[in-house]
Amino acid sequence: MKVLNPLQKVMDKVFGSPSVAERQAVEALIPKLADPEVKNRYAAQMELQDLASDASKPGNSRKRKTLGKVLAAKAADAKVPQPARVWIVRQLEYMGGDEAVPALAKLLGDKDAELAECARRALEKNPASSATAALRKALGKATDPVMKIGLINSLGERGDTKSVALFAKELGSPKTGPTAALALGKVANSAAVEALWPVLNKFPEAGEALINAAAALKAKGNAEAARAIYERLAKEAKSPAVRGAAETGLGKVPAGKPAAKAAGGKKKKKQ
Amino acid sequence: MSDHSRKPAGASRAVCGGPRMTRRGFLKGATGAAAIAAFPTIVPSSVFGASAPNNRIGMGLIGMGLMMNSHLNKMVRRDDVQVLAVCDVDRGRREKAKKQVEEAYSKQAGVTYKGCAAYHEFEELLARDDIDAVVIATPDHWHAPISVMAMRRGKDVYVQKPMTLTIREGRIMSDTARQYGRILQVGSQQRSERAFRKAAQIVRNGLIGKVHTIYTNLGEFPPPQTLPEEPIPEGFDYDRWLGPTPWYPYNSLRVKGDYGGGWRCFWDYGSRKNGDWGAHHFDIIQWALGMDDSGPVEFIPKGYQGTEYQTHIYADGCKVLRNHPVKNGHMIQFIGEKGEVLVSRGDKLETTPPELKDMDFHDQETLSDVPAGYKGIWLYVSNQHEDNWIECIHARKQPICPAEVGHRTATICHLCGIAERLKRPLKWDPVKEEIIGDPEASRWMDRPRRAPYVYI
Repeated sequence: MKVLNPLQKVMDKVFGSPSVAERQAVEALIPKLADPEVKNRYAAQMELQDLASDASKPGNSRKRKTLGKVLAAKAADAKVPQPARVWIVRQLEYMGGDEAVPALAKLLGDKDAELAECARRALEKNPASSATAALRKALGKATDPVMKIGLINSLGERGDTKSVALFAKELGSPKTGPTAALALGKVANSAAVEALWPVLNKFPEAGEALINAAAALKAKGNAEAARAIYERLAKEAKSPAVRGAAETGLGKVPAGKPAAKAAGGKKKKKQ
Repeated sequence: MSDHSRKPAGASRAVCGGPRMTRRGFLKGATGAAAIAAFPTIVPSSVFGASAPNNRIGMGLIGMGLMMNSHLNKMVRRDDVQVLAVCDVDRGRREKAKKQVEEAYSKQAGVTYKGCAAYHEFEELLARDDIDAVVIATPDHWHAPISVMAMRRGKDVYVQKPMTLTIREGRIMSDTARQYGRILQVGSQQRSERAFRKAAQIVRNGLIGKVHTIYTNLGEFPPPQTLPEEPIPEGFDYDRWLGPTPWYPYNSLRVKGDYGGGWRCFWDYGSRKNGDWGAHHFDIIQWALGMDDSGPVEFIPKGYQGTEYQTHIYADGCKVLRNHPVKNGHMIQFIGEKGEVLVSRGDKLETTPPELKDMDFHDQETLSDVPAGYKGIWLYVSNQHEDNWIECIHARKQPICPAEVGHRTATICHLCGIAERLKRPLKWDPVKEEIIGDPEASRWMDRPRRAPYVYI
């Protein structure tokens, strides 16, 4: 009888045991995904991709979860050859759900940079809220600037409001600051906007992120907040392109009272 | 639905906004390590003929491969354009392009010209205030990141087709062009060819009745491959070539720029033939059907439940079949209730009834004799794609293939590709721009980007 690794045991307990058929199908493909003759790997890659695609069909949620669980276990298994693990994680990018998060979160810290990067991308696309928490936790610990850039971008893509303080901390860094600014522009809440004003004119992405934030706020129906950002950018941005975009934006939001909070302005004290 | 019905972009040469080249500006922009070798001499104004410096567009060329050759030759011949910089991740290519530009200007001026910088990283080129516009002819996966950054930095953009790698990138590009007031032309240049325009005019004006079926031939690429690792050639920044796409070991076949294959075969860098020729033919179909700000509602891959031809279907039932044989070897065949239109490159146009092809849509006398039902729709006239872009930069007018049009066409390319990969049909809402009822397929509307190449 095959001995399960501890992570697989935990996942089996949480998500239920996957069917033998799925596990056997994946296990049969693993040696082919890592065939020493690289050309031969393609057919196995397509076979696994087809399995993942079939499992991700609408109405197949049980099958998707079962396969997701099998793939997550294999992705986490250090005995599985690296090229197979990479291709497995790439399938999880497009069909993995909450069942894949623990394995992918663990891979974020893997010493193999390619696997860690693949796991980060897979978590970025994972619909489970636990994926956001895993990415945020990893950002809190990350030291490598490239990994940090990836994590910041992923969390920005997911609009994670809880990461605003983490992003803001990076704004002073020439390596991660521009990505952090763009991520804040995607989050686009008042705290994110507030964090961007001090660095407007320090690097181009800050003003561009504020333009994005204003557009996002307008799209959400908060025209006053958008207008306040555009007005301030039109006055304070050094970049002619950003000032121009702010003027254009102003022409598209109705005049009203500036919403100081969403624009990142300081609150007035009550008299 | 916008129909882009307008008279030709005139030859208006209104002064275009944005800074012009000054010696001081040039020196400021050329301080990057990559540009040191390109320290300029003063350029005699005779190089640029009669065009006053204030009307001259400072141009940067990014991605000096196969597709850039014709753009470069076109740009260096215009007296209202000055190519100030080239950029490529391949040192050999960028140095060769720099030499080509400088030799062309030297030949025109009769003196030695050394004013073209060569950059390894596009960010340095885009940081230059004296560059007003860029031509982007990289592989597809770099189109959106560079275009978006260029527009945010106040540059106008000509970007090769398909405009994007993903559907979401297209929405961002179109919104960015609008927000920043930039002139973006997508290189679906069949719109600037007479026969395709005429075909679209005939169809659009109802002269073959309601169109129910369209055949188009995109051809096929060989399947992608898994490739063994080879040594990376010296002077080639492979990591940057891969950019936001997943990492793979280097192999020369992966990065090869080749109409018959190379990087165009790989899903990681595009939508294969759907993105390659689809960006031309689906674009013309969109134009002819008046769907430039919309699109089909269903995508069925070849092989699905015996489907013989990849198909997409518009809301009115009109079907587009890929690689169905097209009469007389044409590229596109529109079949309507009252006739047909067949069209190809090389100004080839056939119609049923035959007299349709001889109609001159700009001749009022001919127009007075057109059959009943003629809708009187004029389509945008451009006779040369790059010229149209430059004219529009001067006039601050929309070009014939702006970002929204390019986005809608690329969306079709990508949805065909997604359906092919997933081996199942997709329902699409072109108003909300959403895949309907298939959350996992929806994940393909964008692709996560590899760090540190996250610019959007």
